[in-house]
Amino acid sequence: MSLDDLVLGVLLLPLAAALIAGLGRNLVGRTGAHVLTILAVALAFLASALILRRVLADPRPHVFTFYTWMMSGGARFAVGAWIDRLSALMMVVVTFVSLAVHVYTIGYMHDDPGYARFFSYLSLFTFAMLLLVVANNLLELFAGWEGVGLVSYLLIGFWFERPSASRAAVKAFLLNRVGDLAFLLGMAVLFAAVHTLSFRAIFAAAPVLGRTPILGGSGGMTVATAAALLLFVGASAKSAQIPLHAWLPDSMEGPTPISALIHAATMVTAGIYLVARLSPLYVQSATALSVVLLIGALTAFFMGLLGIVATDIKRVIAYSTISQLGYMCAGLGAGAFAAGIFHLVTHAFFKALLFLGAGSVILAMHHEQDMRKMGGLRRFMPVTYITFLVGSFALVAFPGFSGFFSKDAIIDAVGRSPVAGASLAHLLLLGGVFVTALYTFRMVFLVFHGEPRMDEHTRAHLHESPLVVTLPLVALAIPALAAGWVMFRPLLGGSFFAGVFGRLPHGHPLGFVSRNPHLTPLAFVAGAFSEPSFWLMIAGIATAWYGYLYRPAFPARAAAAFHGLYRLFVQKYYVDVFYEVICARAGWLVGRGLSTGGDRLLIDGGLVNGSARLVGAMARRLRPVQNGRLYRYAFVMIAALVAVLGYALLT
Amino acid sequence: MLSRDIWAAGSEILIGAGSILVLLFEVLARRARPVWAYRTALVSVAVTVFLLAAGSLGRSGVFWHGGLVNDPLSRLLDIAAGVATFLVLVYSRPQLVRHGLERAEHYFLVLTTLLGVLVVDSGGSLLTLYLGLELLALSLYALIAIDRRRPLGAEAAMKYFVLGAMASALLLYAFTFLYGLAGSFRLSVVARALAAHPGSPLTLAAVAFVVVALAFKFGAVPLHFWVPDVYEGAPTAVTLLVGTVPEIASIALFMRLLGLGLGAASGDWGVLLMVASLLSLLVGNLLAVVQLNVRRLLGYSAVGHVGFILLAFQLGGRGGETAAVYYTIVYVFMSAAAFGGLTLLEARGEKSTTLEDLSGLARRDPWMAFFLLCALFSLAGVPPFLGFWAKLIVLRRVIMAHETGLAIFAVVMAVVAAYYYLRVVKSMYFDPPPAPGGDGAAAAAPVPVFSRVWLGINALGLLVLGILPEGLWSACRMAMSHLLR
Repeated sequence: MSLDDLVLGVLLLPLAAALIAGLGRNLVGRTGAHVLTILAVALAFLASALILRRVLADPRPHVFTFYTWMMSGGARFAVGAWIDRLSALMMVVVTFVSLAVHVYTIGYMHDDPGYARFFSYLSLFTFAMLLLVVANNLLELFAGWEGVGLVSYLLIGFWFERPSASRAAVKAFLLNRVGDLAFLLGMAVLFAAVHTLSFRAIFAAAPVLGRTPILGGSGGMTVATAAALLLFVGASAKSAQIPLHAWLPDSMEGPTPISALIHAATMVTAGIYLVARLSPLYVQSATALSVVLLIGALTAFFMGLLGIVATDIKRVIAYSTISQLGYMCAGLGAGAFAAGIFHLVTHAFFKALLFLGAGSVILAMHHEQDMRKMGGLRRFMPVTYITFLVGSFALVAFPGFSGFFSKDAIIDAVGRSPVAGASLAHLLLLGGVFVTALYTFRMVFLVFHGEPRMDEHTRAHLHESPLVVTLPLVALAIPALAAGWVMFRPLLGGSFFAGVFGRLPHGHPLGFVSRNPHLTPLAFVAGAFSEPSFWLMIAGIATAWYGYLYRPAFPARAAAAFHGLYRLFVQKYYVDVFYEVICARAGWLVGRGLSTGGDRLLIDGGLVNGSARLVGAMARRLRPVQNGRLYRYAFVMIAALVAVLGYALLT
Repeated sequence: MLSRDIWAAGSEILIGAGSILVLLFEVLARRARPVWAYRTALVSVAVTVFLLAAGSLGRSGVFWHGGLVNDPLSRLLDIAAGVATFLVLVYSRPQLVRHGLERAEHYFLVLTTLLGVLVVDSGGSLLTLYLGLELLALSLYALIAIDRRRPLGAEAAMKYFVLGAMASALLLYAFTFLYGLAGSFRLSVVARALAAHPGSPLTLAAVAFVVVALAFKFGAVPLHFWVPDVYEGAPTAVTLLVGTVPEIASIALFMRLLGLGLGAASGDWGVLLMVASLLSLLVGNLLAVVQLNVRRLLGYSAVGHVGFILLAFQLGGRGGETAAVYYTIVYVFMSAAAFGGLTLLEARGEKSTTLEDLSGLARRDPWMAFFLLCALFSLAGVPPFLGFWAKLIVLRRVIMAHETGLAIFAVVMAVVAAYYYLRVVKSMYFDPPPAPGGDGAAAAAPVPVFSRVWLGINALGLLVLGILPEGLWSACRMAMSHLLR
């Protein structure tokens, strides 16, 4: 099969399955819905694997155009594909995690009345995400971008009868709108400068854009900086970076499989993917890279802190997701694009694993999510416990687990990066290591260790989840454990991503891997024990052990001693308050003013009703002309002829 | 020479043979059920469209001393007319059967209508154009009056016939002027002669007569009077035909006669068409607002759409003409879906005359309501339906010609049009259904799945082609860039 057929298959199979399962859900029924969508995603996964094998043999980017969507003023907007090792790797990750989540959903959503609808959305999401990944131009990428945003909205509000769920859905949608507006503006800047949105042309023009001032003249911001910053605002909304992060913790109102697939493994990484995809543009702007680096590092540290005070198991993982996305961003900003993508891949596996594990716990606890009411679950749920532990070790970057390779590579690269602000970012990321270990093992100890704190009824019914739930856990635990060993050298050594990413003008922060052929995965692991990050991580775990197993009274005392700080964390730095009180209130006031003053008085009163009255009056005047009498019609015809003749001959 | 070139008119010959076959059923096998006539008509149209699309019919070139011109435009229009006729046949049969109107002669007249359109599409001389036009018009007169029990139909046919005869007379009169100028019926010769005598009184008189006659055929204001009467008076199945297939002939006539034949005088007819276009936009859309009868509403709205088509055409250049051709083809399929839905509703025994008859349709038959919604949204020009692109392309042409005032006027009129289309949608979706227990609900019979499926393809096609608009548009551009004469 040719490569473009494979790509089309990967795209269209999930779409077709989503349409059939969604529109024909009365036809195919519950079983039909999950069989169909799982089959489609499984085939898409196989095809993605084949595509990855092809591009491993032939590293050049394969660019296709499937369909010219429209021609406008000489610009061509097409639907196509850009298949290189980056997009092929993303396709495999997306379809693999999606497949695991699809299978898991059979168990998790078993009793839900919206069963077929849920599968339809899942497949639709997979399609939109794949479209985003394979796009060969910004407009197509934006279509996928909006598609995943829409499905995310639908799924956060999946249980729309809960007010908190529909509020969270609206919040996610609105904050993403801010990002989308910036994305559109960024596209407009690039279109104005390059007159097309295709990646090939943008990459070719990038060096020129890096020298061209945006508003003419000789100084000021370059086109590359403006476009890169605007697009990064879009990326930061989707990838939940400060200050547009506030929607992600609330998105946990959606069903847990969604948290795993969309709000941890794939969609939220779209922003990371966007920056990596456009790396030839980003390396042309030192300003933009510094912003990306600092925002990422700030997010990694400060959002991790919030995970320490959260009590809802899913919210802890959500804050950890934001913090890990911050690590990826910092990697990108440092110019170590490969390390950022590497962390994206390993994170997709272990974070999906953690979420699905949390889902398994929630299922066993009869939809109780408060960790203070759990404890000692490891005896009842051995498979969930072990896989969850694997995910946790990967998350805290314990040497040997997949997360270690990618995260330590990022920290190392930031330390060596020539980008301005790198030393500050390095400190923040190191602090983040301690924080990560603390909140992760606080969660592990609260949920699986210690004394059971749930009520008698729940406790009597505790049992391991069914096979459709544990099987995806095991399937994800394997890459969470092993992916780092396999991918470390090819991904970071430069051979896999040869030619995909832009390179910084001076100093390549990942050069320490490629220039040192003796740096095998084993050597990297061995070297970790002399790094500060390892000891910070051990300190974090030890603190969690001290506070939550050894001296359980300690956290309350600490909170009382630092109650100002504690309040700040519990209130999430007052960001939500700021949005609600300042932004929402102001917007509401402006809207009301426009509504009464502009809409009701001027438009409704004057224009709409006025013009409707005018139209009606004119129509009533015209009506008698059409009275059905033949001779009058004939007369009008002759009159028209005479008028036309007169006009033609007289002028 | 003639015998060698005879297959250049292959599509016309196929349809003509089909129509004769249909007649033979009526004459030779009087006992045969009319469904065989229907099947014959359907097959001959389908085969013709298929062969045309496959490129094995209608060899390109100029034949018969310029009488017959096969170029990409004639092929595109032939295919469009064929597909539209196919849809018309499929939609109209259930209704004809239910009202006891199904006779072989109906299908014969539909085929001769199509034949007339095909002849006009590839007419290279004044004579062939006139021949095709008359064939088309005579078939329509007969069809409109075919239900002899309906006085309204006879009245509409009578009016249409008298006025149509006048228009034909004007056209013939203009042809004598043109023949006098050029000494030939061939459009290419006429065009050369006109270019040699710019602004002569004879040319101007010919232009005036031609414009009046063509404006009548298309139903442009102030020569639109027949349109609402015919739309209301004819049997619904015939209204469906009148509102679709002949529009193709009208645009072909405009293209061949004005665009190619009288292109040198485009300055003269441009102004006249612009006036007709503005009047059509104004009068058609305003009068549609006050209609309560759905068919009259669609009739006036057709006048409004003609305003859009002429607005593009009057710009004179090939760009405007291409936009006009594109708009016409799009309009034909939107109109087919809208009237097709109404026809199928009648076939079920539901009334679909007034807005009230349609109220609550979404609850009685959600699919049918959705198909009608697609057609109406497309007619209103709501993105992403196909009708949106048609309007967009016309407006873009108008703005590129620096006629911003005209564009604004057209947009305002499109807003008025959206009002009355959306009112029909509102009535289908939001108004309570009429009180149950009436004869409508009791007599409801299922519509054949075949017709419903084609209506679905037609209506959803408006949506799908709206999302993927490039194919049809580039087909039109391609057809218009390789014209022959």
